[in-house]
Amino acid sequence: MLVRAETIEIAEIMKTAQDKKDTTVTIIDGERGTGKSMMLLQAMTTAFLNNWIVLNVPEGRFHHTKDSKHFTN
Amino acid sequence: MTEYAPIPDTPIYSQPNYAAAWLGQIGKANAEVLSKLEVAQSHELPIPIPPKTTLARLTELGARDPEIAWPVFEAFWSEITSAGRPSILLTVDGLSHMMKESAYRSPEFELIHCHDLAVIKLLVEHLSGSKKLPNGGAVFAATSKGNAPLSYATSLAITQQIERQAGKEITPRDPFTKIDERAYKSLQKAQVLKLKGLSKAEARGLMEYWAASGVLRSRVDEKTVAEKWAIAGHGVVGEIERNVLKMRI
Repeated sequence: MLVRAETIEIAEIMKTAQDKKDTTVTIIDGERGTGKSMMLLQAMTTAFLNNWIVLNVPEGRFHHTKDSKHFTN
Repeated sequence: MTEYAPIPDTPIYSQPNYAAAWLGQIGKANAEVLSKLEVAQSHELPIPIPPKTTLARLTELGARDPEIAWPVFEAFWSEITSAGRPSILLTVDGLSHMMKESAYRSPEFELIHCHDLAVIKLLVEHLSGSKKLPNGGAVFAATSKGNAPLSYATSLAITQQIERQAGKEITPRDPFTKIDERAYKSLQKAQVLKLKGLSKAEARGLMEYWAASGVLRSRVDEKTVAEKWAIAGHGVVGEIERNVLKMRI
């Protein structure tokens, strides 16, 4: 897995939020192929490592049915 | 199986199927943490919650029955945001899908805005800053992959925030372009992390990893890295991958 500058930035954002009990809100933007979804994955990994609770909304239309493939992992 | 249902005395619609599916996924992904936490509050739910029910079990109860999924989700949310619980991460991929009207219609046959769908509403409240995570946490929302352009509301909000962060002049709104006001307003408090290409050092690190793990057979040296980095629009990681990994035998 690639650890890039933004991976560290995200980890720092999360650590500060946890320590200060703040709620940070960040939009991850960029051209196609720049690694946005990977950044979300890395945020999730960081959260699991720190025993956070992770609520993830994958890409796709938000109105899914119970057996939607977006919810199988 | 109901996709959406009005919540009485509110303009909001619950999403029974979506809530059930999401509870199931949340329960599985967080099984370790949630199986060690027990329901601590009393909840008025259509099903009995025995004492010592774990939060993991609570998600299961909601996941298997869409009819009660939304009230169970609300109970679950109340539990995980109560004092002493862990920090929470909310991640959303494809932000633009929720920054517009849905395809659902109200009884008056008007299009229901995404922000009036209960699950989305919860996410948007945290995106906009109107609700906070009491035990701390983070919200990360990525704009979509693919070629579909962002809505004007989303792209303007992002552009203006990037300008604000850089201390530059703020692009004014175009009065002649249609804009989703609710979407625009909901994104005013978010920071923006704009991804560009990798640095050459990062690109090199990635290529060395590929070489070490055997998926890349050719030499990784200054020249190759510089070349691949340049071809990939100055380090766009998806392009590096596409160009470099096709070099496998």
